[in-house]
Formats: sequence, C-alpha cells, structure tokens
Amino acid sequence: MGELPSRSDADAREDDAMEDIAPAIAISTNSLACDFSPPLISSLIQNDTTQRSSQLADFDLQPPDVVSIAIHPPKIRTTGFLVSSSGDSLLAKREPTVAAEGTQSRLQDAKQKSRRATGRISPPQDFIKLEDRLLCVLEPPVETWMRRSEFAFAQQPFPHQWDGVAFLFPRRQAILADEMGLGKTMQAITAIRLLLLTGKLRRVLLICPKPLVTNWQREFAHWAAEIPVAVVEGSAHRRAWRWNAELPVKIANYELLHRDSASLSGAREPFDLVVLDEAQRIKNRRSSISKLVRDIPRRRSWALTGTPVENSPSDLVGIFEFLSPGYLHEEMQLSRLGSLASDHVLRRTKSGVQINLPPRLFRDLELPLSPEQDETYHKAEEDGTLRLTEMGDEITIQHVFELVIRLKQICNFDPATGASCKLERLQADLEEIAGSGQKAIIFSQWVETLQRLSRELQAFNPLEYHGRIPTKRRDDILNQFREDPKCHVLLMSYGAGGVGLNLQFAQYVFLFDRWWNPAVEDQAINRAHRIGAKSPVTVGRFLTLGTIEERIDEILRQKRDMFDAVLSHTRGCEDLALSREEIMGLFAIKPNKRRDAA
Amino acid sequence: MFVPEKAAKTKPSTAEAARKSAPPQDVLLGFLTVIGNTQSGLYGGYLLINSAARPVEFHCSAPVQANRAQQILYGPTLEPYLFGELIAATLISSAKNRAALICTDCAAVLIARKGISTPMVLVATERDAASNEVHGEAQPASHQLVLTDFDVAEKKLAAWREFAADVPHARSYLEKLGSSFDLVEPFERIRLAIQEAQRGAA
Repeated sequence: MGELPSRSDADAREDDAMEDIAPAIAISTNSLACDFSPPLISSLIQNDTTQRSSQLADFDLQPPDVVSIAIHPPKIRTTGFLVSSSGDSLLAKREPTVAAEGTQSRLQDAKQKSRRATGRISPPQDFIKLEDRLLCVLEPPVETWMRRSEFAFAQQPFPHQWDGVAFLFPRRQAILADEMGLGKTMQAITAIRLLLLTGKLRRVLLICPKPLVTNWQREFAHWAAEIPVAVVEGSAHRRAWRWNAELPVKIANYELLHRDSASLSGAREPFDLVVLDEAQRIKNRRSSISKLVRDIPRRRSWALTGTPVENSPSDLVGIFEFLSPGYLHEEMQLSRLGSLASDHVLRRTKSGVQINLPPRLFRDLELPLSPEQDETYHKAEEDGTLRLTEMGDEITIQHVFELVIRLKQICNFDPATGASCKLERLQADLEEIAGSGQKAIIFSQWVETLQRLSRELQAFNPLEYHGRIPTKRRDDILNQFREDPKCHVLLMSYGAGGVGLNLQFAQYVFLFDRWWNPAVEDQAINRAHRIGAKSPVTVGRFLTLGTIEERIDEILRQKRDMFDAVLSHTRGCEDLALSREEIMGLFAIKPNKRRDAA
Repeated sequence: MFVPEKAAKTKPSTAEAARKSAPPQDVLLGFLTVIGNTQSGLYGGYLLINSAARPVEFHCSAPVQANRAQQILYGPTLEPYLFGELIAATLISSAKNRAALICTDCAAVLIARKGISTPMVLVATERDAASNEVHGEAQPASHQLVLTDFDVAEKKLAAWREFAADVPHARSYLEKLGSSFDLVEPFERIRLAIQEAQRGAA
C-alpha cells in the first residue's frame, strides 16, 4: 500500500457530516486522564500517601465522563459499466493457431511467452466520452486478443504490426504511413478483421490502383481467408451487381470511380469504412479523383500511404481533405499542422522497428558517358541552352523540361549509335547476378528505354512490366518472374511497378535513370526490400558524370532527408520536388516570373 | 461525405460465425487492484474479463481517504480494512456478473475473501513471496499466505492459509485457459482505466 493520505480540511468536514449517521465505537476515559495537565502531575508526585487516600475517598462520588469518537468508514462510491457483448467471448478455447513450423514455431512460442503482448489500444484524442475512452483501454492488447481467438494467421505478425492494428482499430480518421515494406496491407486487413468481428463494421470499401487489385485479393485470402471479398470490375451490369452484393468487403480501383460515381455517391446506405490504398493519389485536393472519393458516404476513413508527403506539406493537407475536410489548411504553420495531424498519423520506418530485415545496400554507379554519348550530349546541351536563351521572355518551365528529358534520354542511350555506358555496366553486373541464380529489378521512367533494354538483355530472359502491358497479363508476369529460375530480370517502369507489389525475392534493384522525386525512388526500391526479404537488397543507382543527372541528384540529395519533416516536426520542410527556380537553375537560366505566374 | 458513427445494424458474417460457434455462457475471471495516491486517495478497480481476455464489466471506486482519526485508531489494520473490506468488497458487490475466480496483485485485498464465496488469489511476485517469509509469522496463522509456483511471467499464486484450497482451484482453472493467458496484463488495463478516469474527472 502507498503512503496514507494526510488529514485535511476536507477530512474534518467529512467527520462532521458523518457523525450523525455512523455507528460509533466508544472509548472510555476517566476524569484523571481528562485532567492530565503538568501542574496536576507534579502535585501528584510531590504529595504524600495521605493526600492520595483522601482523593480515593472522593472517587466514588465522581462518575467518569465518556467521550465518544465515531470511527466512520470512509465514504466510497463506485462507477462502472457492462461492456456490450462483442460476440467473440468464447472463441478463445484453444491455443493460437499460427501456422506451425516445428521447432521454429516452438521457439517463437517460447519467445512470445517471455515478452509482453503488443498492440495496446489507446483512445484517440477525439474520443470525448469517458466510457468510450475506457472501452479502449480496457480491451486487451491486440496481440493477446488475436492470439486467444481461433482465427489463424499465416505468419506471426511483428510487434509493430500489432501496434499498427491497435492504432487503426478505434480511429474514424487515420493515415497509416509506414515506410514501404513494413506491412501496411496486413495491418489494415487485420484491423478490418477485428472490426468485423466486433460488429463495428458491416460494409467496407477498399480503393486501390488498378494493378494492385489482385494483390489485395491475395492478401485478404492470405491474412483473413474467412472474409468474403468482392472485386468491382467488368461491364456496367456486372459492376452494378457487385456494388449491390451483400459482401462485407468490396475492392474497387481509382479509375473505376469516374464511371461509377453516381451509384457510389447516391448509395442508400453509407459504407462503414472506406480505405484508400496509395492515398498519395488524392494529394491534390482539386483533382477529380480526390473529389470523387470525398463524395463517397462513409463513417470511417482510412488512408494508406508510404509517402504522405511526396512534394510538400500540402500533400498531407490533401489527404486530410478525405479524412476530415477542413481539419488542416495549407496556410497553417508547419508545427501546428504536424501537431494537429499527429493523433491521426502513424509512421514507422524500417530502422525504427524491431524487425530483422536484411540491410539495404546502396551503390552509386557513377559512370562517364561513352564517347558517342558524350558528343551527342554536349551538342544537345549547347543547342538547347542557346535556344532557351534566345527565347527570352517566351521561355517557360515546359521548354526547360523538354531539354532536361532530352538530355536524360541521351544519358541512357546515344540515339544515333545506341551506345550506352549504363548498359555496358548493367550487363556486366547481370552476368554475375544470373550466374549466382539471383534476380534483379531494373527501373526506368521510359517504356522505350525498358523495351530497348529488353532487346539488349535477352540473355537473361527479361520480363517487362509497364503501362503498355495489359493489366490482365501483369500478374502472370510477376508469377513467372517469381517462379521461373531462368528469368533473372524484370524491367519495370516507376509508374506501373513503383507501388504496392511484393517482390522481396529479388536481391538487386537498379535505377537505370533517376526519378524526379526521392520518395518515388524509395517506393520502387521497397518492392524488393520489405518484410519477407531474406537477403540484403543491393540498390544500384546509375549516374552519368558531368551531366544533368549529376546536377539533379545533387539537388535531390539535399532534399531527401526532408521527407519526414512534417511528421517528425523536427525541422522545417520545403518542397521536396524540384522547384521552378531549381529546374531553371539547371541551365543557369533565370525564371521568367511573369510567365511562371501565369 | 461523413455520416455519424453508429453500430452496424446487422453483424458481419465473421461476427455471426463467431457467435454461432460460441457456447451460451462463458466463465469470467475477475481482476481487482487498488492503487494509492497520496494526493487524491486510494482508487480501486475491478475488471471482469472473458476467456478471450476481453472486458465484460468494469467498476472503479472514487478516491478513498482515511482521516487522521481513522489512521490512528485502525493502526496496522487500516490497510487491509481499506483495501479489502471497504474497496474490494464494495467493487465485488457492485458487479452484475459473478467471476469464477478473482485475482489481485495487492495482498491486502485478500481480506475481502472472508465476505465472499468466490475463490480469490494473489498473483504474487518474488518480492511478495520473500516478504511473506519474513513477515508471515507475525500474522495470524489464518492470514499467512500459501504460495505456489505458476508458470506465467514467473509469478506465484497465493491465498490465505484459511482459504488455501483457492490456490489449486485457481491453478486448475487457469491451466484450462492455456499458457498464453497473461495474468499480469489485466492489472495494467485497470491502472490505465483508473488513470483515464482521473484525467476525465480533472
């Protein structure tokens, strides 16, 4: 027991109030005790026995006074409530059903016993009622809850994933912004599973980019096989039937929303939850897709993205327009914005969570241009710069971009001769990779470059995955890359392959040319470097020396670390992508303010 | 477009399947603890959970303070009186559901066992056990703790000698729940809930 409280005025008042009602324990005192003052004591000591005998003679005449002190029990008042039945009370009659893997499983179980369960649910700040807040803290940690349920898990989730589920579970507006590869999909599915189990959800709509629809289907089958899922696709008639299907989870793609917006916004009953995967798609709140998702009637809104701030803090404001319209404004100070967002955003990085992910090794492949490329490049740069200078006031950002793209393409291949310093180096590296039976993913921003590489790298049985590959064929391509030991190379565009795919069986990633934004490059790299990766992932970043690539890289390097600034509130944040001034500065040209403003 | 949150009208198939497979009534486990605070008094919390470790019922007491007269006159019996007879007994009697077993992590709460028929055990730490060895002989024989090892987070189960039969009862009940059942974690929930209630009252 802790230290007992000291007596206070409140105690005294309480004593007074309670004396009338409480039973008293009487304590007797005699008259001597009442008069135990020092003079009397000293006189007693000094007096002889005769005096005492005379006092004894008087004693019978003095009946003792009685002072009663009530020993009141302290007042006690209790408050309490019954938790409404959640339907799962007796699911927990057996031990966890995590897929057993012999000794490995037993070792894991022993480890589980020795560490405390993770995934404690904390009440969100917008829970005002005490009862709502108490209901959150009184729930067991999600890990305990699920381990004691009879629902199986294909793999034992990581502690950070339990925490992610606990974060999503009580929230009506949430952004799960974990770094790519930490398992956002699994966390969202498990949170949905729990909410369905507890009866808090009945109708869920999940919206993702079209190429990821089958991935989500697979993940639902993997992590929550008991939940029926309907994919909304096909003809108008088929889609209408799917929209009306009484299934708990529907998966639709962003592109589809344009066609089915009327049936979505006019739905008779709102969705209990709408989840946006790759939610950076709605960062521009003025875009039609952003407006469409905002119009979907719903009770809960979750957004999943590894890059909540791709270009600037306004990206986060755009996503919040879906979660809670008007909650954040672009004009807000960064610290205020971060503070308001913090209760709704959960972001973890691979370096910050306790997972034994193999390392990610970066190799900057800095190469001089081949003589043919060098000649073409410098001629194009001189001509282009001269032309831009001659344009005077007519120059726009568009004109500069065209020159940048032209020069970047020459850095890949000399248009006249096909010479490529990057290709020579890539071929040498791939010889070694294929020789050891490993696999590599090569990213480029241009389909033409990928097609050219495909022709040049036939010895490694390359597969292509980009915007010109029909969606129906894409899953087969990924399966072939995964399973065919002869296929060592996958050629991907940043656009088609940058997000949502699980390619953790590839040990090498090459960025044949560089994207404008480091966040997009990270997305691409993390297709291979994610949970499930069993060996280190080596990332080769091609860079031709003394070219536009080097200048862009220099600027992007300075900005790469700013990515987390909004979420960590540690420092200021500027635009992460190249600004007008920076693009113009690539050629030492001053921007034309009048034209840019227009 | 936002719509206010409300309970779904019909349960989803997952929940339906869960309920259909569930036996009609679960056996409940009670967790009772008292936390002391010199500033605002003593708070008690009583949590009933089901075998899935989920909450079924919760009660907490408003702060209790002994005044100076009570501290002097109750002397060493004040702590068991406040923890057990007053707070614990009141909380247990407030519950609508009856627990099959009550666990506590405060030895002083065990006195409440005298007034109830429900078995009650102390989830004891090594320190509790050592303390019992040192001070146990000063207690009346009936109040001495009977300790037994229990393989959960290196804890021991204990009961008063007078109710020594509660320990094997608890042991057999808890063993049915499986080794993954954490006997310590629910106390943490109670503490968090009391803190939350204190914040709410502030």
